[in-house]
Amino acid sequence: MHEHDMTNELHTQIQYRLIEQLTESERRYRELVESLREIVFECDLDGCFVFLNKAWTEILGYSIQESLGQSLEDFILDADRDVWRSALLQQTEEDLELRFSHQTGSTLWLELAIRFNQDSKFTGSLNNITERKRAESLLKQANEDLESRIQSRTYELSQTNEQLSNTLKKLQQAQGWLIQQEKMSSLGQLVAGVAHEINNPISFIHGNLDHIQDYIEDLIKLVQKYHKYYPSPAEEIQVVAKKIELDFILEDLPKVLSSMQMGSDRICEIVLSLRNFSRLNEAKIKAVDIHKGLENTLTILNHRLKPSPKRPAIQVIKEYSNDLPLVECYAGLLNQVFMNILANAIEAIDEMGPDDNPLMQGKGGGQITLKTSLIDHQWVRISIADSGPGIPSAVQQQIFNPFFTTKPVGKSTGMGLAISYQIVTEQHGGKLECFSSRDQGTEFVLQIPVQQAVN
Amino acid sequence: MDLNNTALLLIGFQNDYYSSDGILNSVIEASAKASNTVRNTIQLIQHLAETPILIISAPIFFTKNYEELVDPVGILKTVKDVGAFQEKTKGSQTIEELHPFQERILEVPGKRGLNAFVNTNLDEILQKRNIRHLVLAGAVTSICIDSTGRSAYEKGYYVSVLSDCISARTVFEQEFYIENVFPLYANTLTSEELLEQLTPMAAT
Repeated sequence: MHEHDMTNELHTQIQYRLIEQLTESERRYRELVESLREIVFECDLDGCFVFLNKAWTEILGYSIQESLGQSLEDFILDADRDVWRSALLQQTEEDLELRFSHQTGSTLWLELAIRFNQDSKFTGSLNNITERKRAESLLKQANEDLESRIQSRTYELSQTNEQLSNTLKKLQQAQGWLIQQEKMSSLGQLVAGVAHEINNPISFIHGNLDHIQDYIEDLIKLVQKYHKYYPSPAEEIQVVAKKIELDFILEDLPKVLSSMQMGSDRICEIVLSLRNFSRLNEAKIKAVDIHKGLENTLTILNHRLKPSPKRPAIQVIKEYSNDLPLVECYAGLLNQVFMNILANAIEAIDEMGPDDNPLMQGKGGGQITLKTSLIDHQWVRISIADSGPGIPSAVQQQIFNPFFTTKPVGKSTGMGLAISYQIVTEQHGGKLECFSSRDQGTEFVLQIPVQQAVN
Repeated sequence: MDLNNTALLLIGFQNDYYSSDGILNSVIEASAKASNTVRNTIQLIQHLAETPILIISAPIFFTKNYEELVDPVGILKTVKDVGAFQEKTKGSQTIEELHPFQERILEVPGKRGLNAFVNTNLDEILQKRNIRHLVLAGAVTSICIDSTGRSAYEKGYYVSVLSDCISARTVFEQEFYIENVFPLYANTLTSEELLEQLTPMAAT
């Protein structure tokens, strides 16, 4: 064998060993790369694949052979391509979460980690994070659902709380209403009972007064005749006549009778007003004269309108409409409203002395003005205004609230206007409003439909 | 390319390499399948048989006791250890696919190592035939093909290696030699490219 042939064979053997080591090394790294669950890739300057490991096919379904030479971007969903282009342009090496299109058309989330080489080639890995993203999405959805349920439950609880609060208010209102109704009912029964008991004896008195007057007149005539024909009676008669002051009796007796007549008339009037006011037997809706209701109430409150040590008499000004029709209503309840509002008006005037009220100065006592009118032939408007000090606006907002009162404890239940409001609005479908300003007095305006709707 | 001074040298087309039951078949199986070495070589010979080109085979044989190998190392030690290429065994015989061309192929005996020029009169034959261009095919890429190719280059021959008619131990080795080693002294081309280069000349 020639020397150079030996050298040749030796070189071959050296190469054989080298290539064996190189092949083994290459095999080891190839197997390592191929055994990875993550996709490992290398792209050229144009971003096209020059190397892909098996995971590429396992994860995305494309064969390696058909994918080599294609751009990585071609496999990214349109929606995420801008993110990838931006990263490629800026050569940022931050991990990106991108959506890729599987060979079957489904979408997979892959986490992309790339590293740019000096020659602008880049290598990287793609990790399948679809399950993680799905879990995150489910978790997010679950959190949102939970949040929504909490919000919904909170809202329900809030609603329930509000309902309970409203129910409690209604219960308190109902309780107050019942207490007040019971009081009013008892008062009504008492008034009705007293009126009835007084009515019979006063009827006897009132009915017999005319006869008494006739008898008295006859007796006076007879005495005058005796005096005419027997100007000088027996001394004993003259002594008695002088003692009893017969001349004065004869002069004063007609006046006494007339006075008794007036008193009797007044008692009859009051009894009638009391009976009308209570109207216990009228639990149903009836067509009534609103003016009579107002008058009855004023009659009952008459004693409070009279002068007192604190102030002169309260002047009641009536501006009643002439064409007011009968109004369908619960008369007893409506009288209660009039009573509440008028009583408040009197109390308001009572609260201030004449010096406090410019309207009172030089005009005697305060004023209560009653006005009625018909609106559109469908509504009756009743205004009750007083010349009191007015109601501060902060108080005005609360006057119809149950249990609200500005009076000392024990003086008022605070239910009067609340119940009045309920009677007008709920039981009659009407409106009750309050207009007041400082030093200008207060006006309550009721509007009641002339006819009540069926049911 | 002149058909009259070109020779195709077939190395290692023996059953121990290319038959499925060959003792060293597993060594080149992956690469042989990947490049379809036998099919491409047979197709090439089918075309070349009609031309004046010289077709030579240089099989490797050893005696039963491998007396030719003294303290072998590397692949030759493996050959001895596994008992491959023993003369008069099926393993040492030329593969069946080449039998139809037996008359057309000049067999040069005596190769007992890596280099087909060693212990053979290959060089003399080529010289006598005025061959200047040697085209290589067979196995193993990194051993016999490379050793013989470099030797031919050193002897002044123009060397070509047929990339789809050679087999390596691995696909990686095959690509490495074709892309990085052979270009140092030879021209690498496919059998199809060789035929394309020969066709115009054959027509003239």
